[in-house]
Amino acid sequence: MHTLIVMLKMQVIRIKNLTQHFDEKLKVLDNISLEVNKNDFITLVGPSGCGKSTLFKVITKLITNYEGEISINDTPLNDSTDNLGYMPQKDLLLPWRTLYKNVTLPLELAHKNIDSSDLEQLISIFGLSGFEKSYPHQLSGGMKQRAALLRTFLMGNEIILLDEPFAALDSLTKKKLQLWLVDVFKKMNKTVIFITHDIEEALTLSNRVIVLSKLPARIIEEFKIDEEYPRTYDVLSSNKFLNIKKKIIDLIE
Amino acid sequence: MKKKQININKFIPVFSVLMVLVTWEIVVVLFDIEKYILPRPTNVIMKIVDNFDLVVSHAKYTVFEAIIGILGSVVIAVITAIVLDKVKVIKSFVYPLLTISQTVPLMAIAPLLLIWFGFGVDAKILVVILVCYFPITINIISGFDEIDQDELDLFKVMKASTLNTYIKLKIPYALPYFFSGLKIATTYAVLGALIAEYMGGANGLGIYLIRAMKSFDIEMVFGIIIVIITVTLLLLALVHFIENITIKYKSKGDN
Repeated sequence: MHTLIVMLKMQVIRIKNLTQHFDEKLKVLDNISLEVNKNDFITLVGPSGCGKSTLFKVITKLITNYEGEISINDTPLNDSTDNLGYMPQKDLLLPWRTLYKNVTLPLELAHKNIDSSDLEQLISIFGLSGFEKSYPHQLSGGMKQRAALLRTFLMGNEIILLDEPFAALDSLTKKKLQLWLVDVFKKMNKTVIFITHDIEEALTLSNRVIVLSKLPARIIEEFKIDEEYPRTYDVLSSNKFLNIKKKIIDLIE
Repeated sequence: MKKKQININKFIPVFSVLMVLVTWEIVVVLFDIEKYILPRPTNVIMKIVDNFDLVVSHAKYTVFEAIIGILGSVVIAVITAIVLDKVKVIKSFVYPLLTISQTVPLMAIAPLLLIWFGFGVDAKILVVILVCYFPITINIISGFDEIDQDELDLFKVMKASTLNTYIKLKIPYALPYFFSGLKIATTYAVLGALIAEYMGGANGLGIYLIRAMKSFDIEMVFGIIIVIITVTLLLLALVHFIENITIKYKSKGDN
């Protein structure tokens, strides 16, 4: 069984020697190489302002002046037509659209249709049933983030890039959403790269924690975490986790 | 309880206007002011009522010029704003010209327009467009400029076409900005139409105003002022109404 899983592991994103300069003086990304396997849940941690978001902008083709090689599902990034799910730090829900219309925006823009019962099911999984007709200003912070996540989810293929989606939430809502997110994305066979500066969040969510240096961002260490989900408070406060946490803190500071 | 408070708030402007009118009336009666210096508000209103048909026939022209002028401005403003937004080079090229155009005194340009385009209604509509175009345009442009770069990026990642980016993001986003420009433009529009009529023509409240002044009919002058205020307020109310049915998502607290 175990070998089978290893054999099935496919690399969905391959980044080789990626370097990016903001201008002549400022180097943002420094020789980053990263292979993302199918169904990975990778978190990138690092000091704020270290260029983590720039990496996402390169992968989503918002930034094109970089050196290095990137491929998505074995196609070079430039030729790739895959739609990635991308969620920047803010929820970015459009205030004039109802929750339903916000969430289905990516389908509308791509002229795609989805079975309405499937959509209903998704809305229910994301805990948004009954609020389809509400406008964003009528929703709580946690709901807005879940709506934004569902929109991200409907944006495309299995690759999802999340840039500190929970940064603005209070710690209780955050904790709840973290547990929920792991559960949902595992069930849905998604591959996630998740940016955060919250080490605890990284340890709760991911199977690989990648630690980035301060500007220019280099990968300084990777931790593999094969603990079962959901990771309870007991697991997170075990010596093993506390040790990793301490190592990461030492690396960042 | 809350509803009652809103109702009272709505009536405060009515009270303040009534108070001014009552004070005015009392002052005129108390100090025995001659009617060719300051007429009594009640007499002014009687004057409007007595000449109602004539007032309406002139007001029709002014309102028509103002509305057509506003509509023309909206069309030109939307086109300008989108072109300037799409081609940033043009923006830095045209924007200063736009601003300069607003510093040209209307008193100088309005007679020229009448000379070029005649004393008919079209020249007046042009004057209205001239004064309304600018506030609408710059408001739409600042609406476009305010859109979060992350939101634009998100649309790019979703591979939205240019047309869809305008229809589904930029235009709805700029709509509240457009309406604040439109409200400013509406007050300018009536004023613009009046000034244009004042410069020459046969019909309109501006003409009627000159005639009343020349015959020292001070009651009528005040009457026309009241009609002008009423017309402007009604047009503004119309804009508010259109805004409210267009922008439904606004929370009640935002109004």
